[in-house]
Amino acid sequence: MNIIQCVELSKSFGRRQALQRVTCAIDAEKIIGIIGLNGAGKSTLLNIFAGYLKPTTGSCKVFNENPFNNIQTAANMIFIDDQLSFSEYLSLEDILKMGADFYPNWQNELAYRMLDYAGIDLTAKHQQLSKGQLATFNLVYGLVSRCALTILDEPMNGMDEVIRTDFYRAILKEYLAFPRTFLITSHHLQEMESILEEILLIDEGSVIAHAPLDEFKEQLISLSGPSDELADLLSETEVYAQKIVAGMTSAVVGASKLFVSEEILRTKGIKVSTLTASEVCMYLTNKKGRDIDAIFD
Amino acid sequence: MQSLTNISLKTIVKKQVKWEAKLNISALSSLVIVQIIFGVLTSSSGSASSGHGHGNLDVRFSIYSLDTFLIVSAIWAFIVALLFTTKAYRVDDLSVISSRTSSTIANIFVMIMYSFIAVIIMISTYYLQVLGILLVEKKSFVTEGLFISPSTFILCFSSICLFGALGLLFGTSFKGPVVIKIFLSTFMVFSFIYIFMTPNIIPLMMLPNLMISVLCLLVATLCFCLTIWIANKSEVSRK
Amino acid sequence: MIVTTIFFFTSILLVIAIFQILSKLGKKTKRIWTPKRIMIGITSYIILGLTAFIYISFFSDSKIPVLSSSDIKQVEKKFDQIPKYDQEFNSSYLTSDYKKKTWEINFDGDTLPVVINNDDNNLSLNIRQRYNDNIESGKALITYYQFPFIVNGVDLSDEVPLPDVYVAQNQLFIESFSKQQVNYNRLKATIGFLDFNRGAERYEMDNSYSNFIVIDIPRGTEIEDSQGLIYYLE
Repeated sequence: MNIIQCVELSKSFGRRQALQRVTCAIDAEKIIGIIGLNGAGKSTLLNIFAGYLKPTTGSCKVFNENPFNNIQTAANMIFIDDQLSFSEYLSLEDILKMGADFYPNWQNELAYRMLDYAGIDLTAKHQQLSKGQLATFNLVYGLVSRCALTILDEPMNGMDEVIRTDFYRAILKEYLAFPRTFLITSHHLQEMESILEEILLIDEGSVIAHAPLDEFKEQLISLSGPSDELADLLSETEVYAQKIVAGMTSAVVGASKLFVSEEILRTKGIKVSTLTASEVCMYLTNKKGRDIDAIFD
Repeated sequence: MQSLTNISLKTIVKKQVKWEAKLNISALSSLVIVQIIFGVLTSSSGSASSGHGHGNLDVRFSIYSLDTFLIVSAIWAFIVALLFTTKAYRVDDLSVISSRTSSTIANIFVMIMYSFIAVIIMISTYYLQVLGILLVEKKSFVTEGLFISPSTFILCFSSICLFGALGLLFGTSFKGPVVIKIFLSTFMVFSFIYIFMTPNIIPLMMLPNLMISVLCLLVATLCFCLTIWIANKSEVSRK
Repeated sequence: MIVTTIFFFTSILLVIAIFQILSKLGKKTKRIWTPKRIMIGITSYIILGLTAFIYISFFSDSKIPVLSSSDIKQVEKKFDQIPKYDQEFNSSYLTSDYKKKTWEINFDGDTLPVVINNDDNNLSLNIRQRYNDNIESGKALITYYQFPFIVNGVDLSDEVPLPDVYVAQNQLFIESFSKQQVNYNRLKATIGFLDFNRGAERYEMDNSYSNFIVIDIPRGTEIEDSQGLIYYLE
């Protein structure tokens, strides 16, 4: 069952097009990574899901309802990012109390244990926390509210390395204990890979890939071998990156258009290797001819 | 698939009112301080004075009425309502279950509650000021009614409410779509000038207190409705 | 109206200034002022106000009575007649109830020159002469009558200073009272500018006939009034 359904969704701020004709559907009870470069439109998309922004054209349905300014979707959704803020009068303990008052599935015990684990003092104020502590607290707040749709926008920003891996596990454990839909954006795809089921890749305001993690990784492969042997092959497929060093070429190409069996490749002395998800993302979103070296030449 | 939570707007608004009324209580303490300052400032002269010369007898009356306190409370209500619509307050609402509609309705209820308490604070200040003057200068007092009549009470409440409503409307219209922003702000500025710069308001003053209260409450309700309407249409900007 | 507007805008500025200062201070004192304590503070302030109210209503009996509009109308009805009687030279309205002070003077001869020193406005002293058979010649009786003098519902007839009456060089001097200022604090728990603009809320009396000086002289004596301020009464 789809809990989010977008059809031809566009959003523009003045003349700037943030999202262009996005069509996607997100299944319930999955952990989905939303990946994209800075300014690709991730946050805009999440803000529309959260009901904060109104699409310019097209439609977006969350739980089969229009999320914009909708209390029903708001009741089943929580949006956590670094701008989450609370009144200056509330200590962290009070904030948890308030959360318990609002969210019906709230897990107060769990919140106490997790914050204790992270070494966060409950008598402190939200504004007094350090950047990492703030992110930790916000993440805990998002997890214990147990909303059917939990949106985490860069949840681990500023956290320590150790805590980060711990909390990826915490997300997974919470997911298993109480299955729900997680939408997570992060710059650190590599460390997130272990918990993601699907990846939604956004570039320049449109979705360029949406697939389960394995399928996603298989979209591209890396070939390396003698340049003359590869040249023919590369002319037939889409090449995402290419490097030639001393007569040997290594290239990243789209897997779908490569109609040559591995046997043949091996006889030609071409080595085939797979890429990691974050490498795939990098190549898919890399603009043609983009090269930092070129700036300094 | 877990079952979805069904929460009515009413429950959420109730919860929001409960928390907001508690968390914004400093607004009321600021009113107390402002009132005390004005109470001290006007303690020597009263809120108005009138002089009469008859022959060689000059009579001066320092009138201690509710005017100053009412005007100060009204201004306070406007400012507090404006503050309610500022970024800091709105962003706090997003951390719990809320929609723009629920937050706005909650704000309106809090504003009405605060207006009511403001009237009581205002009256307290008045009596404290009177007591202060009584203790300092014992004689030459003309007491012409120490009891605040219900109609005066309602009038104070409704006019504070009205200013609160104007503040909310003004603040919210700046978050709404551009057309509303321009239209409403010009309209409000002009109506303010119209009311204060010309004697247009005098026929209104001739009405009995209760009629004025009803008028104030009607305009306040209109402002509240407009506020909710605009809030429904506006997006959240957190930048 | 302009005054109100100016007052309104200065108040706005003041309130904003106070708000600014408070928000600066508030940041530092947020730890001390928790919502609970603020609530207690506000409640106790309100209770304090209530106590003040109870105290005032029990322990402050104002000695100065305030006349209601109907009271004033009644008084006025009674005193509308004065100008009429005055024009008819009828002195019956000058009863001993309103007699404030009497001066008895002696003079020589049949004429009594009167000099009235009335600073600026003539209206404030109404001087009348009357023949009285009970007075021996060479004597005169000057009586000051004060009728209710009502301003803003307060009867100020006791506050009006008496004129100076004396004889020098066989002339009678009547000097109007020296300038006097009276201050009152008026407590009125209503919206003053509404009352003010509604205007007619308090009925004001015409106070120009509120005092009279009557000079009683025996028959056969004449008053020499060079200023033309003294009228005749029977």
